[in-house]
Amino acid sequence: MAPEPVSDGDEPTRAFRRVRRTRGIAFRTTASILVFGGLVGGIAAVGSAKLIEHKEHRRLNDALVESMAAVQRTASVAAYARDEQLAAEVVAGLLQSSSVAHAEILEGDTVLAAVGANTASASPNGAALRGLLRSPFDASETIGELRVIPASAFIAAKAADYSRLVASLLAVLVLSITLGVAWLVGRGVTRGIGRLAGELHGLDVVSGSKVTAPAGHAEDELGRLAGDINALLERMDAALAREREARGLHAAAERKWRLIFDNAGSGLFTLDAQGGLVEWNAALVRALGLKDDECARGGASLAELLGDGAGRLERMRAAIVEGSEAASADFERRDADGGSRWLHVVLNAVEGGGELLQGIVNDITERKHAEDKARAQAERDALTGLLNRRGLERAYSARLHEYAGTAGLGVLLVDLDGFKWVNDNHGHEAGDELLQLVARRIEGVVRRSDKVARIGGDEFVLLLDDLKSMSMARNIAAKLVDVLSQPFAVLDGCKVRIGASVGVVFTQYPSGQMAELLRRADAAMYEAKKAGKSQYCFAFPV
Amino acid sequence: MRIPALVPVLLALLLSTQGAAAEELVVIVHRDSGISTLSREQASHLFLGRVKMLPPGGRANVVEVEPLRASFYRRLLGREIAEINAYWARLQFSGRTQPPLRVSDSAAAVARVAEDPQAIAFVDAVPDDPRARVVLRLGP
Repeated sequence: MAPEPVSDGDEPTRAFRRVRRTRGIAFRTTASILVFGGLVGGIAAVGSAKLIEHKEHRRLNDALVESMAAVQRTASVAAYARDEQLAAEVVAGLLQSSSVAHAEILEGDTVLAAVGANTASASPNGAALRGLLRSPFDASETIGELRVIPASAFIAAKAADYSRLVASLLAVLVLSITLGVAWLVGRGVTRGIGRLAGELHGLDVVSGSKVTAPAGHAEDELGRLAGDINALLERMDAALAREREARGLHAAAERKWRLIFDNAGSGLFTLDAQGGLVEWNAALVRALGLKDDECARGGASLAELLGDGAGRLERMRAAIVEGSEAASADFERRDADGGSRWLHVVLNAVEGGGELLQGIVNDITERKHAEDKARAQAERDALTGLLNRRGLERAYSARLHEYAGTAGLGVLLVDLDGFKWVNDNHGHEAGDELLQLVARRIEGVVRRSDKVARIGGDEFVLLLDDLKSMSMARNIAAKLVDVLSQPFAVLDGCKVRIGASVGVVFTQYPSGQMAELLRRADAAMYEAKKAGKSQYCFAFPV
Repeated sequence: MRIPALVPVLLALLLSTQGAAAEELVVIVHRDSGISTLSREQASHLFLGRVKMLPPGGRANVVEVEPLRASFYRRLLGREIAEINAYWARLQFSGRTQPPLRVSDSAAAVARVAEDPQAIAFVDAVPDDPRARVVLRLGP
């Protein structure tokens, strides 16, 4: 468990490990108690000093009044008897007290006795205490006065002294209590917390160790805290163990799937939103016929690897992104060595994977070749190896869809003259052989790119593409009539002579059905036959 | 039956003190003192030492008759003798004011007054001596 990082800019690593001394609970608690105690003690001391000074002042004055009362009787006697000696004794007695600055006894207006400092200087505020002296024998008769001037400065100083003493005693008391409380709190609480924190801080969770409650705190909140920490540690330990186990299981499953993925016969891959390869297996590398390093660069575009210039893969991807469940198509990939491979690609959306797509690639080259072979056989005339009617139709529609140029197209219908005679007189075998020879001669006249078909017993059709002009069609037609009128050697040297009537259609903008062109060519061929055979005839332009 | 027996004794005691108190006390001076009469206050001041001179002048020599003191001061001031004694005890402390001279009976007091024009005393009857003059009467 990582300790809570303490955000401290200047010394991050140390602060991370260690709580600053001045930030410790013990220090702050003690400091708080001391500050609080000091504050309270100070306020109490200052407040009590004022109060005590006031009280003490009053007490001293009261004491003065009391001592005056104590000598009042004697003073009365002295005044009554006008005895200066006794009066002097009385005032001298009063002056014994330091609180008295001046004392005098008056009989009527006469001063019987006076002691102490000068009246004026001793009593700046004139706060003289007066006690009326009455006759000892007639309380109603006032005979004089006992006058005392307090030593105000002395009293004030004494009161201040006393109040200072009390204040300092109070301060010492509060300080002692504060220190005691701070010590007890520090010892009883914060040190325990500090130890617990230190122990927890230095704990190695992985080893399954535990914290111990600080001594003497087993039964209190700290003990409970330690117990709770241990319980948490145990739970964490258990959770970690479960997590490890789950990770192990997950890793095993992952390895299993990885094994299946890697060893699958089909090429498996995932694509990102840009069509780049994210993951792929060895089968994909094989299917694409790549070297490892070609695939190894991450994000290689599958479209480029497929050689898909037309962007069919991109359209499949777009369809899936727009919501289709899956899309599939066949791609022909040309290898560097000139061969080609046919690949069947299926794309799926990855559930919950955003724009991620997954796909399967299967090599269908062999199937494709087989299909091509079957189709080629279906479009060929078995006897001559030329195209049959279906092959012709397909060639024509391919020409119609794929050719965008303006060159002319020539359709030549060739009908043999005299073939029936050969067939009747020399047999079917001779007829078949003758047809094969005718086919070879026709092929010898036309270009490689021209298509030659046998659509009936002795009817041949030529599709002459890319004709610059009508005269090229004418030349080829004339050559055909010529080569087919030469004798053929069939059945071991038996020479036969036939001819060919050719109907020619020339068009620069072919459209519509093959049958229509053939019908016109047939009409032209019929014209040639009518004109005397072994010649060609052009169909009228439409 | 004891209490009824005591009653006459107590009554007799009461009557005897009343008999003694019933006597008139008089303050006397020498006939040449120049004093014809004294007020109660003047007498008080003189006997208690507040005034130390006779009204005409000259120091007063005050004389007390010991057995009559309680009675005299009770009549003059309405005070018990203990208070008077306490008063003098305080004054004796200083030694400045001397208490009056004390004599044992009225005759001795009269004799003193007869001899001394500055003397003043109280006695229990108007004296026969022509040198003594009554200046204040304190009735029962």
